[in-house]
Amino acid sequence: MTRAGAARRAAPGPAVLAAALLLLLAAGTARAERADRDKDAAFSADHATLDDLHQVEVLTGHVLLTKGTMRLTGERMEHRQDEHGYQYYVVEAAPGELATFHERRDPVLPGVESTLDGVGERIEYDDKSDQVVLLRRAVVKRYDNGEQRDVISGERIVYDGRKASYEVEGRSGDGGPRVSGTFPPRNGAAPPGAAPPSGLQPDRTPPAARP
Amino acid sequence: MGDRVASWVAILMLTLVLVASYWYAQSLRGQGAGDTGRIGQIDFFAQQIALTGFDAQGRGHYRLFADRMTHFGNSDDVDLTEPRLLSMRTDEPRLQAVARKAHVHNNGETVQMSGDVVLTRAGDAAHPPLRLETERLMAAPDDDRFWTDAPVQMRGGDSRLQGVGMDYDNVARRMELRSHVSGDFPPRSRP
Repeated sequence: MTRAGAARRAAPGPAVLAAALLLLLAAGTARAERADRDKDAAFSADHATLDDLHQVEVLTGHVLLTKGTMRLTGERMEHRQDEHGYQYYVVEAAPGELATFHERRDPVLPGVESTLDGVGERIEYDDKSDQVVLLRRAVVKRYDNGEQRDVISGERIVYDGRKASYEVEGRSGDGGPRVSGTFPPRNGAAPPGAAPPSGLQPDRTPPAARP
Repeated sequence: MGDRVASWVAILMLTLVLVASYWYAQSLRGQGAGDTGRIGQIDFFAQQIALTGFDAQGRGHYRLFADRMTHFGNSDDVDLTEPRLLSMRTDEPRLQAVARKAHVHNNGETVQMSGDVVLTRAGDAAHPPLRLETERLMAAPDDDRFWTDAPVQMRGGDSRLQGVGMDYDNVARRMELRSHVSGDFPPRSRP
């Protein structure tokens, strides 16, 4: 039985969501920079629509939002605030392009600045749960002092800023994209980029050649 | 010989009178040519005025206050100094627009406000108050619509927005900033 065949039988119709991973980064990794939560979110765009009745703002055209070290870019951004003052942002890319997410994380190791860069056709940021959800053609990369460390890709990546964990979902069968990732050892003494990747490996098999 | 001199003197005097009349007519036309040509002649003015607009059911729709009102007879247009436009709709939060000057077209169909224009919409339990500042603002009081092509600064609750060009529909409670939008959303207040 092929994996794709099993997936088709398990979920009729288009085979969606066959792989789901919960990847908890090793203890000692950094959380999203907590100070960001207390900063103003500054934004710019070409155009804005404010729904005063439902308290929703929609920014369109070259949207840029910065909140401390956090940065979101895209073609369209919806912002709303709940009754308790928590903020929610949904950023969407222009057709054929990708929305971007960037954040610096609280330092854990002295002298190591850790940053996250993510892309996706749609990015959702929840200020209350400190979660970032990247959807469709999603990729998240972590850098230590500018050296690329982790790379995760999938159709849906949930980054939990409090737990510093990723949850990744991909597709299987029908030649769709799959989950892939690269994690170097988390030994602080290892020189960045020198260690071979361990754990998940990028799936370089062409979709047509997959079983 | 004497008759000829007298004739020339008479012709010269008539020419002078003609030139002087023409110059006087031109100078009169130059003074206030803008208003008399565009919106008609002033037929009255009043100070410390309050006008009330009514809807089709005879209910007060809006009130307009001003320090001075100048009315133009031909066009029925009105110039106002220190105007204050107040929405009286009972089904919507109170809306107010103030400015240094305003020009009312077509018997109140549109009001063109200018100079330190401030538009405010009162808040309620679910919606924070809204305040918008600009240098020029057009209002259509019967439709509860406002718009401008000038830069605007807006504050809704703790959020601040600015942009160039704005359209606000107070019935749909929907505002559009046309271009060059920027601003900030404050963080959640600490309990």
